[in-house]
Amino acid sequence: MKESLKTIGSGVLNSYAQLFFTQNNVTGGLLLLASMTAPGIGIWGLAGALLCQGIAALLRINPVLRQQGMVSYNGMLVSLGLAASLQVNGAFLALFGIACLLSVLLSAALVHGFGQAKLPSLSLAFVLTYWVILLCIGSFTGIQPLVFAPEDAQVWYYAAESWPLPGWFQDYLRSLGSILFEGNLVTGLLVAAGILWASRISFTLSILGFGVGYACFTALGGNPIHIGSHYIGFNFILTALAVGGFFFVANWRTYGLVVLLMPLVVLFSVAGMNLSEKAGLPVLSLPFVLTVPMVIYVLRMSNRMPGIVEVVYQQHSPEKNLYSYQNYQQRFGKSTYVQIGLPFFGEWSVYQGYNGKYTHKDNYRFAWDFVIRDASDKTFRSTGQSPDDYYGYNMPVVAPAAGYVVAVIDGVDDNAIGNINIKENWGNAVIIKHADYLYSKIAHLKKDSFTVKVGDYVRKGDVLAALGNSGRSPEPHIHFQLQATPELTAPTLQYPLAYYLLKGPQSLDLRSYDVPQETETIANIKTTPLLRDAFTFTPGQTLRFETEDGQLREEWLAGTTSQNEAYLHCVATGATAYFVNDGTMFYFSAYTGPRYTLLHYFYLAAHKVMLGYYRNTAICDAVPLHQLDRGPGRFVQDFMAPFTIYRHYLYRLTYPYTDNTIRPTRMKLQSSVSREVLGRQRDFFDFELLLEKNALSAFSIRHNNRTLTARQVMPQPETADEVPVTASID
Amino acid sequence: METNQKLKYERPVIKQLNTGVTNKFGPQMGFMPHTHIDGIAVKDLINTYGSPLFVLSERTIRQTYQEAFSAFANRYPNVQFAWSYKTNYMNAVCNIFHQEGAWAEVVSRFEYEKALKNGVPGDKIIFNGPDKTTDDHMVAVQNNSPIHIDHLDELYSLMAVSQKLGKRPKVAIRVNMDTGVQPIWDRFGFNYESGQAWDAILKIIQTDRMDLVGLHCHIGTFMLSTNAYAVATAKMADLALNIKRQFGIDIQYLDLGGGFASRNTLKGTYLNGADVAPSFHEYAEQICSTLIRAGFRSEELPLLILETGRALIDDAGFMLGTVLANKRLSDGRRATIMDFGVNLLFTAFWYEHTISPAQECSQYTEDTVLYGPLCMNIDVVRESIRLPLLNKGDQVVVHRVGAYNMTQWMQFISLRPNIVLIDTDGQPHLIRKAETVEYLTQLESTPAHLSAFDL
Repeated sequence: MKESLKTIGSGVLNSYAQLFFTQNNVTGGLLLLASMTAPGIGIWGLAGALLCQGIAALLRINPVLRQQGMVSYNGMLVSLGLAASLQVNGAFLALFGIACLLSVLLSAALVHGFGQAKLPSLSLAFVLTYWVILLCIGSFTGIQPLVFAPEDAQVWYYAAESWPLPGWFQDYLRSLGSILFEGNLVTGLLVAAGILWASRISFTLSILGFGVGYACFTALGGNPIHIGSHYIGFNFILTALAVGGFFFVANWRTYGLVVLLMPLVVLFSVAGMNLSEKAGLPVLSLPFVLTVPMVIYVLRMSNRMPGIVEVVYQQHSPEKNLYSYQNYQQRFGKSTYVQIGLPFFGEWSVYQGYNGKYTHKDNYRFAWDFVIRDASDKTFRSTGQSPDDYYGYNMPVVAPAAGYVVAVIDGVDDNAIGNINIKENWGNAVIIKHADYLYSKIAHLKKDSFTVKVGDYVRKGDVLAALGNSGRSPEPHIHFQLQATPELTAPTLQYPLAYYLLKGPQSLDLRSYDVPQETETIANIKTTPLLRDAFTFTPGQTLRFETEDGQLREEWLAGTTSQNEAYLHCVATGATAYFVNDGTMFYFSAYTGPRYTLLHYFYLAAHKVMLGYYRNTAICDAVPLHQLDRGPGRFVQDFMAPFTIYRHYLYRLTYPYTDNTIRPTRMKLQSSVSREVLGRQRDFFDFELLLEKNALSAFSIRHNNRTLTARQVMPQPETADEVPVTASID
Repeated sequence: METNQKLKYERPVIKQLNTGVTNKFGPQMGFMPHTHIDGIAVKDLINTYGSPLFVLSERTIRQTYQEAFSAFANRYPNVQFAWSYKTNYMNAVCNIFHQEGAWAEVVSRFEYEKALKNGVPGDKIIFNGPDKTTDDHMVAVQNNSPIHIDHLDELYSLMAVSQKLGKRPKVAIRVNMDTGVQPIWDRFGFNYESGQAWDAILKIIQTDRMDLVGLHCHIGTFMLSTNAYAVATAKMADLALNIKRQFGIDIQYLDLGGGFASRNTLKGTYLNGADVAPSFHEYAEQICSTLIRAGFRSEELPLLILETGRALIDDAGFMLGTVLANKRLSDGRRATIMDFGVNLLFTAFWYEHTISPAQECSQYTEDTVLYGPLCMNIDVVRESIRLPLLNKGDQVVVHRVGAYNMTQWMQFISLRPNIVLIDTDGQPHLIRKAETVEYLTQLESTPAHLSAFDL
């Protein structure tokens, strides 16, 4: 019961907020307040929202739709419209009830119907319901239209009309107010405040959309009075909000799209306005309802518009949509479905990379040649006269990922150094199928050295054969390429390697979904059992964390969604952190829920963890802006966000301590999140994660000189090992 | 070219003409003088640091290490080297290896302390050998060092130590086995074939006072057969897999020891050492491919530790010396007396060291006995060596002396000389000063009644 009351409560508020594509409660409250500038109208809007929520609950409509106000905002608008034009009496009450029922049914039907095509139905249900009612009332004598009395002009909010505001701005505010059927400046001002509170991008777009629409309308010789009086101005605003930042990721292109579309909306509006005089039906939000799905559909189908990206995971905020998209692109923009590693052990150097100067051209341009180089960059020990003088010769080559061996070409003799065998170009080679349309080929191997045969299933890192000098190979080197078909001569496929370590002067640097470049020395990542175990969260597993002072206590449940996304969910706080563990890397992909919960801290602390222990390697990443940023700086950034993002939250992780480098049983990870604004960096959070007993035993958070430590409450209490101390010898 | 320079004196030599293999002029030894080491003239080194002199090449050490490491690391995903201190424990040498990433492998408390003082973390010092006292055990356990148990008495002593400290030592057992090479090295560790090794493993696991983290073997020294390593690896892997199967314990590392041959020629072998010594790649191929095929899951492959010493350092060491005198023995053989002998060049007992003159020399050679300076009959550097004609004051370079000499040398009759390390930029550094009488006598004390005498 409590749960359904809560749903109805937020459903009512969202009925208002939803008008401007947000689910912000403050905005909802401001809009509710705005509708109450004329309480006689506003109260019916609230009653309509409540009634629709009640009807939807009785019909057992999906609680998510109800809670988001998707099935009640149309009814709320219809109610406002009826109350603004009809006298309240018994017949009105009946009509009001029927209208609400109709709007709920239409809303739900249209949401699902349009949803099939992944298109929004917007306020189409409102337009239809309102028209049906208007077409009926002429036949019902019990229904009396509201007659404007002269004293109405004395309503308190009319005082605002004397404010010294420019004409277009007055029309802007009136247009905003007229969404709630209260086309006055006070209502408009409250609505504008609500939009600004929810989203700076939406606010900017509302001004832009209205400005362009207004300019267009007046330039064509339209009378600005009509913008307010015929309730068409809000179509400019709503279209701008929808196209500029809500359904597409906001950037200068979507802003341009808004400018481009506005004349169209003006035309629709004027056409509708003139039609309404003939048909007696007001145009309402029809121009907006027609334009937006059409644009979305056309752009989606053409799919060639650079830089205009549809929002896939709707977070009901243009800012959140933008920041998470930008962060996702930065972190996983190049990620691949199958993770391909390197086909060797140890460190090898790229002799020829993509578009190489020797043979990686045309069809074969996305390939790599690997050799082993010594400290003086030589690939051979003494004179390099024979293949076995080369470091790479006879070295094992391994499977870069799991798969089935689909071809083994054997029997080609090694060349003398400097000679090439163009007749049998690839020499001895092996081709592995990793997935449909994804094969890898490793070539120039040694005759009779294969340890696999066609049909074998190989795991990542299994030895396949030894390197030889067969085929078009003047000196021993591994040729490695990915291809879409199993033929020996298949063209190469541009496909980045999932993870590898790049050898730098002092350290090994992690590269994720990248392409090794010529002369780089690279290696596979060796994973560490302790890290693998500690970051494996099996669906159904429960993790309990408790702070040392006992203040915070959270229980996280690991699970997977129907999309197979793994997550940790905290029932008490409602927070959910989505993560990926692909065997080499553990990382969080998204977080929803309140900030500053233990799960939120863990989401930040373990934002990206390489599951191999490398003492001198730091893992760097970025946290989405909206997860942390707030305050005036964020407010300003939001305005600028579609054009430039200059505030960044940078993540860094290191592995400062382990008790045993061979098989660690205890390990400390340190991570930090720092804010970077225009090149200036400031520490924000410092985290420390302690792993022991094959699990994450504790993590601590330091923020503003305060430290909070949360320990995992293990199923069976066990005593921790003591930290080994190095004894001195006297 | 100075034309008025007096021609170098060459003593007359009478020599049996050997026809050789293909050359109608007889075998040509083709002696190349070895005048420079890493770009520095031997003459300058001796002028600056005296003769005799040990010289080490940092460049060669690093190159050899990198080649050895790559030979294993490019064949097996999980490789660690541990520098065998006994082979050469000059701090400068050890630290080169530590910089390259090697841990320390020690066989005595003295070496253990040296490694600690060099800054090697306790858990990266492998404590081997039959000589460990209770106190040694205590310190090693406190420092979390892996202790390689050599015999049952050590096992019992370590159990007592662990009980006393209340701490679980990290241990491995040393295993000896028949690898098809004679003689079988069975004096160290527990025998595999007789079941001793398994008994020791059972004792460790069942008493549950220590963590069995590794298995260690060291099948011999100067092993010219690489196949023996494949046999040893297979037996070690078999033990590790059996432990996993029966007790569910993951053996964290297999220490295959060392024993890789350097390119020196052993006494009594017919062929030249440089021609018969297997390369790192040949050893690595045997060990790594056996280990990969042994049946471990690819993410559970144990760490492979190698403790090879000799093959990593031998080539980097040179001994520079000077001819003291020539003489003819009663049987007519020529003898040359050098200023270094077996007191410094301990390996002269095992190897027929390659020796080159350090200055221009004649193409004519003569069979020579090379004596050291000691007034002691055993001081023979080479019993028979074909050398160009050397005069008093001429300098020679002895090759491949990096292993064991700077640790097994002694002050018998004469003191130990300077050791110089030439860094990768070709700059010489004195890494151990020549000893003085004061240095040698500082630990002596003379009882009062012996302090004076009247002659």
